[in-house]
This record gives sequence, C-alpha cells and structure tokens, in this order.
Amino acid sequence: MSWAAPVAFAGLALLALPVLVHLMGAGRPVVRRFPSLRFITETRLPPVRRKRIHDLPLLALRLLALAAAVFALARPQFESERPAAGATLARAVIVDTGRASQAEVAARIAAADSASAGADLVSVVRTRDPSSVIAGAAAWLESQPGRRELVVVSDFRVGSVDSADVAAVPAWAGVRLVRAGALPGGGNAVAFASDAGGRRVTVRTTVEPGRTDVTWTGGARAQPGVPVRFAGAGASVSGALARAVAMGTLAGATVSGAAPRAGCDSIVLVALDAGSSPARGGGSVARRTTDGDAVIRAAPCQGDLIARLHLDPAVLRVAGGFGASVVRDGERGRVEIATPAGPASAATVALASAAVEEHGVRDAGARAAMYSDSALASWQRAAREVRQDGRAENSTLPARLLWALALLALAAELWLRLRIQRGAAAARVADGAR
Amino acid sequence: MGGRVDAAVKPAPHGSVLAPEVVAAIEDLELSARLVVEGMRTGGNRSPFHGYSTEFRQHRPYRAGDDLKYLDWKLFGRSDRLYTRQFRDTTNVPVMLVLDSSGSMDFPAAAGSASVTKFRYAVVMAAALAHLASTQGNAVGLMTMEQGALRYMPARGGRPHLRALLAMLERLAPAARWDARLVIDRAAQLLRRRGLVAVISDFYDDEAEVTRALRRVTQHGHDVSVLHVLSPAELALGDSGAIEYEDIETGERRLVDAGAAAVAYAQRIESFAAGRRDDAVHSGITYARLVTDVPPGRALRDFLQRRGGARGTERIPGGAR
Repeated sequence: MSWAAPVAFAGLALLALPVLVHLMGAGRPVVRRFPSLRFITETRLPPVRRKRIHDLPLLALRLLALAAAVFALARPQFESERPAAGATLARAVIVDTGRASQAEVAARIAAADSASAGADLVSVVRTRDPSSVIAGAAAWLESQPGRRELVVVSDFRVGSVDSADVAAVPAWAGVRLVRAGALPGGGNAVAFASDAGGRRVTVRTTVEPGRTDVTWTGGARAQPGVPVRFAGAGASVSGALARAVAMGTLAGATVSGAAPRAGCDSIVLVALDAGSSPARGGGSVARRTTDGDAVIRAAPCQGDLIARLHLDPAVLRVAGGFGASVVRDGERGRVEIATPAGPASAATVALASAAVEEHGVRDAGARAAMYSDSALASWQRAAREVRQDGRAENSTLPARLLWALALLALAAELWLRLRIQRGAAAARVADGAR
Repeated sequence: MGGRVDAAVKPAPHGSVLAPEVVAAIEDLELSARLVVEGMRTGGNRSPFHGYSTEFRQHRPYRAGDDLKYLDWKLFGRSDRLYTRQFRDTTNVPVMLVLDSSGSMDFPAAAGSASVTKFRYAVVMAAALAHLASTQGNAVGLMTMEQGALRYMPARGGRPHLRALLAMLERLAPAARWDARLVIDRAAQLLRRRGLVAVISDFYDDEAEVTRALRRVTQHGHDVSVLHVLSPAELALGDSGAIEYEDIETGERRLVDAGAAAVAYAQRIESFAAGRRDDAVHSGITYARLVTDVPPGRALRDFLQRRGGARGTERIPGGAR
C-alpha cells in the first residue's frame, strides 16, 4: 500500500486537539444565571480532581473521525504485489532542459535514467517546454497496455510545469514529478548591491550558458544604508528595459502600451527572458491554474507563449502591469523577488530597480520561483492497474471508505453527545423535583 | 387575531386548562388572556368581581337622614320598628395591577425552557386578570417600572382601554432597575377610589420595606392581593458539583458546591416564601403562590377561589352603608 499524498499525515498532529479541548472543558465550572443569590450560601467547593479523561467513548469517536479524515486525505493506494499477466508498466519520461546549464541538464538526464528503471516500456522526451509535450506523452501512454505512468524531471520553477498541466493528464495514468538539476538555495540567486551612497551604480553582468549574473555596485566609498538612485532611470518597466538593453542583457526590447486589443481580455506587459529573444509587450490571461498561477499568452495577439506569471496575493504591479511576488524584509532592508523570468532578465532587472527605488531598501535579491515540494507531492498520483476494458481501477475507493468512516464517527459522536446532555438534563430535573 | 395563533393552539375544551408554554406561545396577549379566563370559568368559580352589584346585605336601624326609599316597610309592619335595608356597593371597583419587571423575573419558567420566563408568565396572569375585571365592567389600570422609570396606565373601563393596557403589557420587558416600594406606593396613591391592588412579583426586594408598603396600601382602604411568582427551577437547586451562579440583576457570581448548598437553599427559599405569606395574612392581604409550571388558568382559578373563601372575613371595598 502506498500513499498518494503522505504530507497529509502532518494532520495527525491535530489529534491532540480534541484531547486538549476535552481536558480543558472538564475543569471549567458551569455558570448559571439565577434570580437571586441571597439564599445561596457559601459552601466548600468539592475537591478538585486531577484532570482525567472522562466520556471516553465520546473522545474516541472524535479521534476516530479526525484520524479517518487524515488518512483519507493521504489517499491510500493499493497496488498488487505481483502485476497480473499483461499488466506491464509503461513510462513516459519528460526531461526539462530549459533554462539550465549543461551540468543541470546532465543531472536531470541522470535522474530520468534512474526514474526509467523498472519499467517495461519507456519513452524519454527532452524539451525546453515540458508542458507542451505532456499531451503527446499522454497519447503515447494511452496506446500502451498495463499500468501507465508519466514522469517529469525538472527543477519545477514557476512557468515550467504547473498543476493545470498535471490535471490535464488522463486519470488512468500515474504522475510522478522528480526535481533535479536545480541550483542550491532556490537557484539562480543574484544579489543586487545597492548601498551606493547616492553615486552612480555600476552594473556588472556575467553571461554564461543558461545562467546570467548581474551585479550592481556603488562607488568606492559606498555608505551602507543609503538608498540607490539610478541616474536617468525611472521606476517604470520601460526605463528598466531600456537600461537592460543598454547593459547588453537583451538584444532589444519593445514595450507596448497596456491598451486592450481585440481578442485579448486584458493586456499585461510582459518582459522576456534574458538574452534569448527580443522583448515584446502585450498578452492576455489565457487560463488560470488551480494554484492561482496565470498563464499569459500572447496569442491571439502575438502568437506565442510569452511567460507565466505567479499571481500571488502580494503581487507587486509595477508600471505597465508586470506582476511578480515581492516580499519586503524591513528588518534587513532587503526585498526578495520571486519571478518566473530569469534572474538576469529584463523583467527582474525592472522589478529590482523599481523595488529598490520605491521601497528605499539597501539591496534586493532575485531568484527564480520554484514550486514547493508539498505542491509537487499533491499533484502526484500512483500508476494504476488497467482492467480488461481498458479503464483504470477505482483506487479512490479506500479514501472514500475512510471518508465514510469519518462521517459515521461524527454522526455517532453527535448522537452520543445529545444522549449525554439529555441524561444530564433529566438528572437535573429529577434532583429539582426531589 | 386568530391568524397569528399557532395552528396547534386550539380553544381548550370545557374544563381543561392550557399549559404555560402554550399560553405563552400565543402571540396575541388578548387571546391568551381570554383563553386563560375561559378555562378558569369552566371550573364554575364565581368571579371575585361579582357581588359588588345590587345584592342585599343586612338591615340597620333607621337613622335620621337615611333615604326613605331604603326603609323596609314590610318589616316595619311586622315589628313596628324602622329598619333600613343595606346593599353591597353597586359601583364598579377599580383594579390596579402592579407588575414586577425586575431582572430576576427574566428567568426560565421551567427547566430547559428559555423562551417562557417568569415575566412572561406574570404578564399572562396580569392580562387574564385585566380581561376578567374589564369584561365584568370594572376599571383596570397598570403600574410598573421600565428602564428605571414608572410606567402607569390609569384604571379605566371599556374595551379600547383594555386593549391599550394589553398592548402596554406586551411591550414590557424585564430590566435591572426595580423599586418595589415606590411602585406599590404610587399605585395606591393614583387609585382615586378604594379598589383592588394586585401585586405580581417574585419579591426579591427588601422584605421589610415591601411589607410596610403593602400595609400602607391596606390602610388606605384598598383590597390588596399579592401573587408570588416562583419558578420550579428556583425552588430547588437542581445542579450538582461546582456551579458558578450569576445573579441576573447584579451580575454578582458565587462559586458553590451546588449539591452541598441545595438543602440549605431549599429551606431558605421555602422560609422566604412562607414569610411572605405570613406577612400578607397578618396584614389582611390575600397571598397566592404562582409556581410557573402550573397552567395559568388553574393558577388563576386557585387564586380566585382563595379570594372568594377569604372574602367573608375581609372588608369589602365601598362596603354597606
């Protein structure tokens, strides 16, 4: 038996909650409103008993309901110990080679090789845009007998593969996501020094295959704590883009306005990845993923995918409408920018310059936004047996049974609680009658 | 009127009484008062307000100045002496209802019933008394306290006045401030003729002060009745273990072992109620304990029977001349 979402077991910590509530509730005196206290004499209180569990069946039912819910959320998957005859395992492996150095690509290929082990049929696809080949991989899997599994090897930065892509994989195929070839510490970190003391900032850019480092430094007599001022550069994207072009980070940039065009819902100014293609402006929100990401497509306005933006609630909209999540660390005087574009891209440069100028911070860093491990874990699912009729076995049955058990326990808890309350009320009435 | 009555509430058959929760559930106070009175009447009781009409009482030797039309000529023919016939008062008696609206009345009338309170029970009883008195041609008034201020409706007869009084009763709500002495004194002062003063309260006040106030009212010549409203839930502490009781009026809290305090409490509350009754009897006041789990119709009938039984020894307002 395996678990599709083992992270849900963290919820078992909640089991302590009913016990605590149970114990705390037991020691509290009941308050009753009464017409007059003049005839109620002071008495010695009954000795305080050590707090102990009482109404054990009630507590047990509460714990059972909670535990069953947690196990159901973990989605148990039962796999046959011995695959049936003909239940072979077909595996399509997609290797993301985009935005990666040669070493990173090599690491991903190695991970793909190890992921391919144990499969009867394997198809490996290397691509710079993994989301675009998922449909083709699923079509190949559909033509294979037995169990089917799709494996994606990537660093899973925002913009590579997202929950919408995974959700598009047919339910009969398992999905495994392997993170590999990601730079340590979130990858692609570039620090922007900004304690320039009011002097002109020097920008140094180092371009390597798949990686670009940009360093901004102040004068020789830099004074820490003084905000950066960029000569002749505003906080706008266009200004930053122009500066990026001047630095040689981009071959060229064209910035279009935010006016809507026919067929586009809303125009979002999008900056492009560094060095590879000229910047273009204009795009529309084509779809939203289940994680709140938005995929910005130029089509039908421009005709190709431009970028994917993470629409975080704390999104910072710089002039022109570009969005990326920006977190300000006031204590350290630092702004961290998570952006789907490369750290040295014009978009990041624009954001960094805007953040440094508008927030008045000493320095800003940028890193590529990565999907978290927990997000990846929730997207995965195990490979399934396929029946003779070609349909996958209903492996959600255990989870459904667990949910039913949780509901049953809740109902029993409610019934028992009402019974206890009625008994107590009847006892009070009987005491009153005596 | 009937449209607002719950479908489950139907006119009670003869001889039956409506349960407190049923009467209290009737939104229309006039209807609930009428139902209570109808239930009481089917028991065959005489109304306390009957008998104040043209009813012969006794003979008295003729005195100069007596109206000759009251001379009993037949008796003169037999005894050769002049006697004047005396009758009970033929005028209607004014009835003043004094209703306790203190916070302590905002207490469930029965265990587990938060919607029906002692106050609602008292309101229904007051409405029933008003309805009964008014339909028998007597004037009815109301004196109570609301938000710390006296609320007064003078004693008048007639159906429009009855409706206005019932509407006022309907609007009342129990509040924290209540000055029993002031309300009783003012009720008696504002009753211009000698009449009947009915005080409906739980009497959680200064006992000596209330007793003095009630005596003053009797000394003014009024016929006084006290209806002591008590909930079964306050006649005995039905709890056990550590209970923190909170005084509804003052908010004061007292943490006690309810099981241990129950015996002493039952004795003290019973002693309190008995003291109220003894004080009333010594002052020539009719006392009735209204326990709120008793149907209002039955409680009203018992009260009137008690008044009827005691009337022989009581002074009659506007008595024989």
